Amino acid sequence: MTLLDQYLKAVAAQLPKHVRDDIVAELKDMILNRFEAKEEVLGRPLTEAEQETILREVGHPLSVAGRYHTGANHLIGPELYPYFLFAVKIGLAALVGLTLIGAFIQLAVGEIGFGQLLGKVVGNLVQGGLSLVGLAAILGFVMERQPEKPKFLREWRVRDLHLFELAAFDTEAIERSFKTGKKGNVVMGWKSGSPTANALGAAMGLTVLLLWWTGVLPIADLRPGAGNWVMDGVDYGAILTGIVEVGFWPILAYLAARIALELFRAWRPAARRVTALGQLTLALVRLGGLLWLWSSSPLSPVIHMDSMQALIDAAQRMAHGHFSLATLLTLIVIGMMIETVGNILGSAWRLVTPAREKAVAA
Amino acid sequence: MSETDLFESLKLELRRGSLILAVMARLKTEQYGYSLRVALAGDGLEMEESTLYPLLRRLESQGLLDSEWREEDRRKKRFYRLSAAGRIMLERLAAEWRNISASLDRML
Repeated sequence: MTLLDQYLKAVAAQLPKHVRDDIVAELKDMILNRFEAKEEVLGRPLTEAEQETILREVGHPLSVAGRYHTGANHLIGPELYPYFLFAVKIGLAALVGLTLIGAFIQLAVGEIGFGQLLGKVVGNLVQGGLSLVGLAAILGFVMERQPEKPKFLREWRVRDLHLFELAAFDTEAIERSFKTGKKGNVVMGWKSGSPTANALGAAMGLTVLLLWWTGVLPIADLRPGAGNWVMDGVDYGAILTGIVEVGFWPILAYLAARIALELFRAWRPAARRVTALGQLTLALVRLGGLLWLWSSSPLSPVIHMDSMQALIDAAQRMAHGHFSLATLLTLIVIGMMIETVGNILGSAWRLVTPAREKAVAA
Repeated sequence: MSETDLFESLKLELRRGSLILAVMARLKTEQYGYSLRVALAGDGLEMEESTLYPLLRRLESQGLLDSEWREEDRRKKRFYRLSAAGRIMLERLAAEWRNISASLDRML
């Protein structure tokens, strides 16, 4: 087999079958022409070394074949790349936040020393960060190869751009994102005034949570069964294991449904009633889950309070500096139930009332 | 990046779009790949094979070129020429090129 045949075989192996013979025949003619032109100059046949030099000038078989590729020739193109980078930045920020919360809990229950914890946090951040970047790259790779970019990338609105300031991670941008309300008045909590921006932010946060729940993102070893978290005689590690055994799939389904709903909200911000119906359904599901957590989950014996007076007494003890994780969890679960009831009422209200945008626009 | 490298990089960007016009202009008369490359080089526009051949296929798939395999010098060669749509496109692109060139001439 000649050098040229070897070269062409290597090129052919990288080409799609339906164009392979055609391209290889044309390349062969082109290279033979190059050989002949050089032979004419030298007045003698080429040596193998001289042929190889010409083949190297033509290019490596991988890059020569790559030039005939008709689709995208890159993992993530320049148009999509800034969005990829933005998503990675926000995802990494959420990862760091969750990791630090997990580390704080481990430190609070005294499961691990500070030095050992620091090593674990760094290790988990590296592993989780790489997984996150890899997943974002796969998502970007798939999006890059779609015939059309998603609508929210093509038809963006200036009022949605608030969210993107967060990626700058400078104090001013974050303060603006947290403090400025729709009419310039100061509000508590992050609200951009844009349903699309809020929905995209929520979808990103929930995705990180879902990835952690499924074990794709290891966060400070805060996994059921990962540790023996005993505090005040209560084994929280065993409780978490019990909750996960029963609730793994329902919670996975719930998180997936929430992400789907948030993405729908970003895609169709005007579909107010459909969104409200989805939010109402999910809030009812969430309330059911919290009631289960309160009354019959493995956590129930720890957080359940028989009377309002018992709750007030426990909260007062906390206020006087007697920290109790059980009381803290009770207050968190009660707070979540109140917030969920508020969500149910709000969603039901949006479902039955007409949109205000038309009136504002008028 | 040295000044020479920067110049070469900017020159490459400047040339990139104009090469399509050069290839189409040269294909008003029939050529096969190698003869086209030699002709372009003769006009002062060196073009690598790895750029030229995929470009010819792309222009053909866009309906701007016609091609056929024929035997010449005891070898099968693929000959290209501008299609009817290619001629119209070349006229439009050439007019655009002249506009750009005139604008730049006024500025430079």
